Amino acid sequence: MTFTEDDLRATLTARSEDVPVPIDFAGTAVRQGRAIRQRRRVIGAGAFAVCAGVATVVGITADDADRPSDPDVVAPPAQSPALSAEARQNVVRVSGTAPGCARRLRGSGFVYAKEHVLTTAHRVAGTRGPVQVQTYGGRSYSGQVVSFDPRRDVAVLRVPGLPAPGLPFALGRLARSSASAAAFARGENLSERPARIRQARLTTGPDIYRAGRVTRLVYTVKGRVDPGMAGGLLLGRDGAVYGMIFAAALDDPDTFYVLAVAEIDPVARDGQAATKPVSTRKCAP
Amino acid sequence: MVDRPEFAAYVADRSTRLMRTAYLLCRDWAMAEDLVQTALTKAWLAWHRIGDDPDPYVYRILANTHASWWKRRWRREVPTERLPDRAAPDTTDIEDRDLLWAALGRLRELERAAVVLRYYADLDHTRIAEILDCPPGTVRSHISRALAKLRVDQAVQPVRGGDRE
Repeated sequence: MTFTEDDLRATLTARSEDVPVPIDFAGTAVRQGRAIRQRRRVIGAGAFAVCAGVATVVGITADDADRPSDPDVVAPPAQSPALSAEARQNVVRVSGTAPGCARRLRGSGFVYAKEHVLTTAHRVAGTRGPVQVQTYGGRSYSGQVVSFDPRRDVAVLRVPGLPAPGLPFALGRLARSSASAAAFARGENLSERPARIRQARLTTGPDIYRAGRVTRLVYTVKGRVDPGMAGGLLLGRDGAVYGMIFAAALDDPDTFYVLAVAEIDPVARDGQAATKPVSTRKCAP
Repeated sequence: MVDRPEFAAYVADRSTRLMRTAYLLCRDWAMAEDLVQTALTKAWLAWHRIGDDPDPYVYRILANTHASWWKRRWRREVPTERLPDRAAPDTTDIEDRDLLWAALGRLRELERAAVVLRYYADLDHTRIAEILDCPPGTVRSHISRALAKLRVDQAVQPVRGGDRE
């Protein structure tokens, strides 16, 4: 059997026809490029390979170091525009005490309705007494767990007096959307990291107690999260909630996992209707 | 911030083509998007140094990034998705072009990159050499070796597919 060069051309052309709907390459390039610039400036060129996120795997060295004369280095934007002042006050730090396992648990959360905060179940599991909720401005409020779902890994805190209005949930297919991860990384004030949804997938894995297996709609997201960011949100460019950060990939520092709105919404509704505190059972292992 | 309208214009003009090329390199659309995004971010960072024709620069990042991702992947040994490549193909209803496509997937990454740049991007050996960062003679040998492999692969598959491993 033989083939001609034209067969080869035809095969390549035919196979590449099915291009998916284009994403905003240019906008994302500008955002990521600016973030990389900023980090390079802060950290210095030496640490570039560790810190530059998307560009670390690029094999070209000639352009890795920007010239000091580069005019863009002068005024990098301090904050990506997606996290508006309004969005910012909806992201909170969550901390509680779990006497049963002698732990102080810390994580992130976000306001989705008046006086209601979503967070991960594993960050509040085993806590006794009130859970502290701290806002971007540094004010602290006291909350209680009113809904706790260890299978989905979602919990709701009711926080009387919390002024933030809450962020809406996004609707529809979000695969391949650009977004940002907003949460409180340990030891930092509010962090916002560029992120992009790679795919939506029904994923089966253990629940937080490793007591059973659960299938959830999970986004695989390209981006970087650090300890403390679980419970934070994936925020779309439109200012809507795309999902909740709940895990980082163990084998790849540039991948993390987000529970889709379909998973957090039932617990959010349940929590909004609930008024009484519920048990947070024991600590997650 | 420097205004860079020509960057947006370049992306609008070329992103579909870049996506297709990236897909042919890595054979996965999600990864193709990541490759293109990475290449374009790099291009944006270096835009004022790239000159009037960004294509070679961008292709170069595509090829290099793909090679480095592929190496990482390979070492991690998670490729359950790659296994079907080695299984005996069901030969009853396969067209020649599917065979050719499957055979392309079995080429070494550099060989496939050379073939894609030659027969899909329609570049000459000199430019491919610049992109893959090797002498033109090496490009020529990549391509001729790739074509030879494809011919053999094609000959083997339909006739003795059931016997493989």
